[in-house]
Amino acid sequence: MVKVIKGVLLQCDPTVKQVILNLDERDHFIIEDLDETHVFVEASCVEKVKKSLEDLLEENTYKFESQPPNNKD
Amino acid sequence: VIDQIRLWEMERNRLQASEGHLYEQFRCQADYDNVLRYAQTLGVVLWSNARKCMFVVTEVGHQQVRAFIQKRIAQRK
Repeated sequence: MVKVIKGVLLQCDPTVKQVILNLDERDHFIIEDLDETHVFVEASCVEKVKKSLEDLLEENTYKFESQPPNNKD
Repeated sequence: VIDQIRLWEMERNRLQASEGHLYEQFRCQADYDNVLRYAQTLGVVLWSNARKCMFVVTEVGHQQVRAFIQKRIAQRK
């Protein structure tokens, strides 16, 4: 009557989703591409996806984070 | 600076992960509607899409939804 699959629901903005789709091309962990902001994936890949995303964001914010702290008033 | 921190925080929270079960391939729209309505009254639905006839329920909700479906199948026999 119905099919049930265990996994993890990822909710994200469309940009992050694009990154996830790109990662999937290599590792194929997506079970179902639900909509613009949701994907259903294998539980085992979540940590890896998070890490990859973190690394990417780290790259993008590196310049800002490495600036010296603002002078105190 | 506060705006920047907020932006940074938003970026950090861009991905939300929740364990759950995906229900799909319902035999008919009525089955889908019925089970989804039950899951909704339990408040365990994380995501649903009527056009695709799919929904995702939380880990906790899955036990109850499964029991509900099994009961329905048993009644039909």
